[in-house]
Amino acid sequence: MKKLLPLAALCLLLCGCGDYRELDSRDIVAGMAVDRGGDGYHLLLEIADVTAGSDDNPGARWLGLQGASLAEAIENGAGGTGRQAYLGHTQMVIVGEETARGGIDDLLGYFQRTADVHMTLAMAVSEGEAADIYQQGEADPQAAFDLARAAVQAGETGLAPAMPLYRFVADRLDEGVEGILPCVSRSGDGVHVAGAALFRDDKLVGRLDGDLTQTLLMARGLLSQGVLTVGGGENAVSFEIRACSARVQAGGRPDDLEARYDIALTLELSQSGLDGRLDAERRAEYEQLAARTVKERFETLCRVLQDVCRVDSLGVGRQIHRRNPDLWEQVGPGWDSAFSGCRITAQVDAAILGGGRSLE
Amino acid sequence: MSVFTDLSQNVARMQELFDRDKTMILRRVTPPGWPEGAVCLFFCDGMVNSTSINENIIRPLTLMQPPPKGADRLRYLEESVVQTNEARQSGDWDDLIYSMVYGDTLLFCAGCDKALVLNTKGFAMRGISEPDGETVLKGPREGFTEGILRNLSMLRRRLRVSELKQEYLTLGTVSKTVCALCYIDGVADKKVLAEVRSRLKKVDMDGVLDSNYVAEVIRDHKESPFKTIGTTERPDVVAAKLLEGRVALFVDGTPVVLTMPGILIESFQSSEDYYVGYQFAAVSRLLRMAGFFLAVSVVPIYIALMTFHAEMLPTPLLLSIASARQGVPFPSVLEALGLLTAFDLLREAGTRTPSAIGQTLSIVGGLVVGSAAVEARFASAPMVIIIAFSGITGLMIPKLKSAVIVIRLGLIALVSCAGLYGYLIGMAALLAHLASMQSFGVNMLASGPLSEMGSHEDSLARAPFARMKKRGRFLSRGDRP
Amino acid sequence: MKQTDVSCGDNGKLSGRQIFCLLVLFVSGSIGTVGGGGGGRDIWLLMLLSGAAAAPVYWLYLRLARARETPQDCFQAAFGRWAGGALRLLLGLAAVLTAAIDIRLFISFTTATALPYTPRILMAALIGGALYMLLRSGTEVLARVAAPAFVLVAGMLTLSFFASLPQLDWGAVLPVAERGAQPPLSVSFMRGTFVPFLESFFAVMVLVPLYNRPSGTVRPIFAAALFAGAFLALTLMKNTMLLGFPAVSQYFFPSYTAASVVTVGDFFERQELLAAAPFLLCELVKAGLCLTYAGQALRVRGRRGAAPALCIAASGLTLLGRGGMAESIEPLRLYGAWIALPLLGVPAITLLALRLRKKTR
Repeated sequence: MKKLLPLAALCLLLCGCGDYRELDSRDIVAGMAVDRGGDGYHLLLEIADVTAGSDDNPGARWLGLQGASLAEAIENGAGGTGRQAYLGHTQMVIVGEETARGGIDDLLGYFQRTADVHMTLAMAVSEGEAADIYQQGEADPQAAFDLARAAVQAGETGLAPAMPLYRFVADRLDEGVEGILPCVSRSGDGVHVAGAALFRDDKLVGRLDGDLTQTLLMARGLLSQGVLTVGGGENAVSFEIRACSARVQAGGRPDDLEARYDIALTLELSQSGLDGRLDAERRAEYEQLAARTVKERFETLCRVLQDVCRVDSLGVGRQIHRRNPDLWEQVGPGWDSAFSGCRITAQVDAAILGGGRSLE
Repeated sequence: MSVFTDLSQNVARMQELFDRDKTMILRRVTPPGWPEGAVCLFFCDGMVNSTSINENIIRPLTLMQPPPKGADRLRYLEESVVQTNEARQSGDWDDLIYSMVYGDTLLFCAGCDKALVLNTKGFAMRGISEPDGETVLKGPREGFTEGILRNLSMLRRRLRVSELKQEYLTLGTVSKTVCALCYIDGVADKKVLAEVRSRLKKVDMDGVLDSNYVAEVIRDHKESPFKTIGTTERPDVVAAKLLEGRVALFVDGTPVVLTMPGILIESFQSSEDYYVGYQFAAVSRLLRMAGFFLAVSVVPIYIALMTFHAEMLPTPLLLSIASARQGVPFPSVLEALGLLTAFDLLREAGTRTPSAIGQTLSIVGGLVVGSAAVEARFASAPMVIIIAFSGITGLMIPKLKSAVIVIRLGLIALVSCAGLYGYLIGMAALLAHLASMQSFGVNMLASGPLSEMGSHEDSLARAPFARMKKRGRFLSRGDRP
Repeated sequence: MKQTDVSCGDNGKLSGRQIFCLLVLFVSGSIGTVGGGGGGRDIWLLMLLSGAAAAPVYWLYLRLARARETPQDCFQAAFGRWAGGALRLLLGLAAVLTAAIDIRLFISFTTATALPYTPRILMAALIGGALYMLLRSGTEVLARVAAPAFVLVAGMLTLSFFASLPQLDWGAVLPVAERGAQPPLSVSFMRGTFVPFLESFFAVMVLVPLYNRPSGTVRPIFAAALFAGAFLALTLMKNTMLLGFPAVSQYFFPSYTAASVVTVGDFFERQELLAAAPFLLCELVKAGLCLTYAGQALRVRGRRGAAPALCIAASGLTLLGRGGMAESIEPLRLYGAWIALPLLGVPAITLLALRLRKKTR
């Protein structure tokens, strides 16, 4: 028996190599563009090519796949290249506009079930087809993960929401709030991540531009830094956002709902077309200008959300649910329409610290 | 058979016993004025101090006065003639032969049925030097040598109390190796002492040429890669361990002394910890513990992350490693095993070769294994770095060298099947194995940072001496103060 | 005298600290069985209440553990030789089944998260081997492992919690007790969050007789209940605040998913190890204690071959059935229901029977 034991142990150990995978048997997928059509899914995978570029900035190569489902499309890729597509380091998934309008629950489900996938990957919605985003001319070769880096940067500056997958899923499933994703578009001078895509459940219903996106993030308390530009033309003034906090009080009666936002901004003057020292009077003027601008944008945002898209991306319903569950029990079932009738106001306070290194 | 009263019969017996052995020297001396008191001296050439024989035995014999009539001849010679520092009578041939081959001189006198055993030991020994495996930057540089008497004297110099006991015993039916069991009476644990004595009685082998012969017979958990008996070549270490309540066993012919019980934390302790400031000592000890952990873990964790859990690596690191692995034909596990084997071969070769060649060998080995293997794509640079790091950290704790090798291989086998879960299960099993081990009744994890009972004044870090008041920290149950 | 017969180390008794650590690890090892009862957003609160509610139950177990010289003698003393013996055997088998369920959960966990193609028999053999290492030398080994394991588990979970602080949505646990107390209590309490404390019956029966204070209150077990309840409540709360509700209830192992989304700077991501390692350690301690109880109940403890036999039995049971996640979760819903009543009722009835017998004498 004692002599058989090591043999048995050896046999057992040898049979356990089913999950052993070398790195060079995998294609490391940096990003993915997903479009869904009548004939199934069309994927364009951005694969990190470690033989090109440098170690920390590898080149990219592209793999177009097609299948009845995401899983089938990815498996088809392995059949073509001989390597398995490895989603463990995928940082960006771009969903085409039409695909997003049709609903993305299937994508969310796939990514949630696949153990390799980072739940922190970013999803974005493209203008037009997602595959167009990754098209590139020979003159502007793109490195892998560039788009993911751009999305992170946009999220940090408030140009677009930083919305990892797990947070979008949380908003998608929670009551009284709808999910938002960053928008990505291609123009003559490259790919840009700016703006927010608004979802009702899992379907795309609208978009916001950069300013309204920033305002939305301020109201949801998701903005910690960025640049706030007020005015226009020669009178444009830009402020660095040092801190931003938002408090919400939502309640009222079922037929008279109200939500009051208190947004506090801490700014630092960055660029101004006016000359002169930043004295108390000038500072007060700037503070009022900033507060007024943000408030106007907030009101525009509310019009878009309540009247145009009719989607509660602000999370007013969630606040009611959390603080006043009895009220939510009454208004929750019909919240889509109740939200449109809700009176939403904002009080914005802006405080300017100074002009950085300069007194002017 | 006992000694004959007839001198010629004793001479014949000795010549018979040492037939064809030219190292046995016979010297007859007839004291003047006492022809009936002829004396024969027997000693082994090369084992004795000739000057002592000449000055303390032969000269007094040639100048002696005959004993009074009726007096005991041998007693007279012992007490009034010979001038050696140690003399005793013995009538047992085995005892006499044993003493003679160990450097004593035998004095047979006509008409006596016993012989005198005179201490004239003077065999050549290596000089005292610092042991290679236990060097310190600060502190004493003495190390034990092969002679047990000198070793015991080095210990006695450090513990000048009568409570220090040094009990002699003989092990090995042919070698009859002299051993000494040392302990401090009143400090050493009685149960441990009794257990040690009991196990030593069971040592049954022809030759005991090194302390390891004894250690392997009397240790607990013979199949474990962790040793349950401490070893050292330093007298200051032995003295400190005796003061902690341990028992030491000296074996003639080897500088390595056994200390019992041997617990895990000792492997991370160094005598230098007590000769430098306690803060530096704490850092050093933590580094050693971290070194052991890294030595056994870094290779398995790297393999697991590369092959099962690549998603746990940061993306830039993964890309860097993937780039480095391009073109390497071997799976990561084989690559790791190959490099580990190469490292161990180099280490072993470096130990065996003369120092003049050893350095060249190290350089060549490093160049071959390191650079050329990477350039030839036999191995990837990250793997070489990992193996080198693991190998170097493994050398930080020489006492756990074999344990590191065995555990590392076991963990590599586990991770190659079940990734990080195999590693975690392996570490849990290792912890359970250590927790189940005892050394002469004391837990292996005693007084370590993982122990439940006992003080921690000298475990993870050494407390300042003013706070280290307890001794006998390894007493077994019932004897705890 | 054999060398292995020497047992003059720690005197075979457990200190309060060891009992505390073992019990906390045991309850934490049962976290895999929690959540099947639909506690929802308030599961953390239910866990907290369970820790507090465990106190009277532990008092019951303590009385039973000290009613006779060994706990196993109680059943036969109360119900007679045959009925008591049968009850003892059933409880022993229940302990083996409990250990098997936990091993099965861990195997499902590894299959779902990282090792989908690794055969279950391999994982079962590895875990069985680790259990054997824990059991072969007696309860003292478990006790010596307890303190370092506790430090590791508590340290890793605390580190995970602090690392996740910037990402927490503190309002996600609101509203508390949205639908009142009654619905979650009736379902989740008995079949979910309270089950770990009821399962502690096996641990208490093993540990209390070994306590180094043979009489008086065993305060460490009550402290362990409160601490485990609070600690697990904090972990469940963190999961909800990180993953959101109801998203958190979509995941088989929310702690693992929660750890995977925590990022510290740009470099430290995917900290699943901080969830997987504590899970494994707690499972091993729990299975070890359950099998130790089984050895005592089946009267095989100390016999040669008992430890490997018990480990093989527990590991072997995990291989029954197809082994997918669905097959792992479904029995749990029933397991919580049928284990709760016996582990509550049997000790109470046994104590009552002992008292009645004492009075009639």
